[in-house]
Amino acid sequence: MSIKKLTNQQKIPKNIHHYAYSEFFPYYDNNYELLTKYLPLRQNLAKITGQQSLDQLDYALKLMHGAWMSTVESRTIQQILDSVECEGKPSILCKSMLELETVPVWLSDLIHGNPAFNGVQVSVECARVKVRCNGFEATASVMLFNKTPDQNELNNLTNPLQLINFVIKKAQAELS
Amino acid sequence: MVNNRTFSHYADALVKENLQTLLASTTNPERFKQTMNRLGVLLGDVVKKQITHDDARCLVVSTAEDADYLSNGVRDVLSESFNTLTAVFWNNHYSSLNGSMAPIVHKYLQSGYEMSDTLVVVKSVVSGSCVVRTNILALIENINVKNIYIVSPVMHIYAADNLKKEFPPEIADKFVFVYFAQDAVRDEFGEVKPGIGGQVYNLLGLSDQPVKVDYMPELVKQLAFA
Repeated sequence: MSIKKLTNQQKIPKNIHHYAYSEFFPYYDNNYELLTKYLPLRQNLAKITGQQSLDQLDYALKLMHGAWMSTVESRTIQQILDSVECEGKPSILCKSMLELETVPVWLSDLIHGNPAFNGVQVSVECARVKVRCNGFEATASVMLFNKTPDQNELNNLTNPLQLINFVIKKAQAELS
Repeated sequence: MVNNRTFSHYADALVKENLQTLLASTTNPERFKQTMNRLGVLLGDVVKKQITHDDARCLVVSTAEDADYLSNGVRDVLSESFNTLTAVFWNNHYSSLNGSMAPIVHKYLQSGYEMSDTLVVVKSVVSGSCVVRTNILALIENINVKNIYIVSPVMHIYAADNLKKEFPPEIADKFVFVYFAQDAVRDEFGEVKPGIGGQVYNLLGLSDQPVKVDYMPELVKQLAFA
């Protein structure tokens, strides 16, 4: 197996040697074993998704595998990733643009210093807003929070449950 | 066997009556909810008898749509005898290029869930086991679990074997399947027939999956936001 890997390595054009390499995937009966026993796969999926949890990595692997196997025609890596992005409901790929990594100002202003939201934690991880409260975690793309809600909507966000419901409602845009 | 349905040895006359009531309640969400809750109690009784250590710490795991009904019944019974916590997942169940997907979008994990040693995964009907599999994956690395009960009124005949194939023996051997009926027929949408009479969301009076509508189980409201 390592000989085949080396042979394939030599077929990679020199101009892409600095970022392309041949990889050998050992056979396992299922995704669980592949992800937990073949660590390079898990580590690389974690890098491109920003996720550590096994269910999310498995979701990414299924999307990736589906995109890869959906046609015999040759495609670029970008096309495969575009397909993963398109099929993900919600998207699983990490978008690391800096402007997507900060909590929207209106949301931060709503939470901080407001005793009604004591115990509520808000963060943005891999361009996803995460609102956590007493064991609940609701997530949605940060892109859906760019626009400040109108005053009526803000007036209705007076406690953690209303905020969580707001995030759940926002996330629905990513699921169809 | 009636309509390609077989019953497990847990299915006594009362269970069969409740399964029939489910099928007769497809246009009556309130009766469907009550029946699901009763079936949860009956399934909980079976699970309770199988847990042999008194100091078991149970984590009852369900989807959002099952939390207040089937799962609540199971939880009520187990909590009489064991330390029992709750996990609820909002899955987005859909078909993709690579088959059935059920990513978790939102979740509730009751404080201390990591200390559980007995997973009780409750589902109103188990067809392809995609949702059950995903929710086990979400928990399995955080919990040192002794047994994993897969609990459902109705399962497809191949669901148990399909789920076992998704895990290595050291985990699959911990699975204990507790169900009342097995159905052999599945339609082109993957729905078990007669199963529970249709799609659980509609039968409970929801227009779609909880993740796609504004649905928050009362149980989670009480545990996380009271």
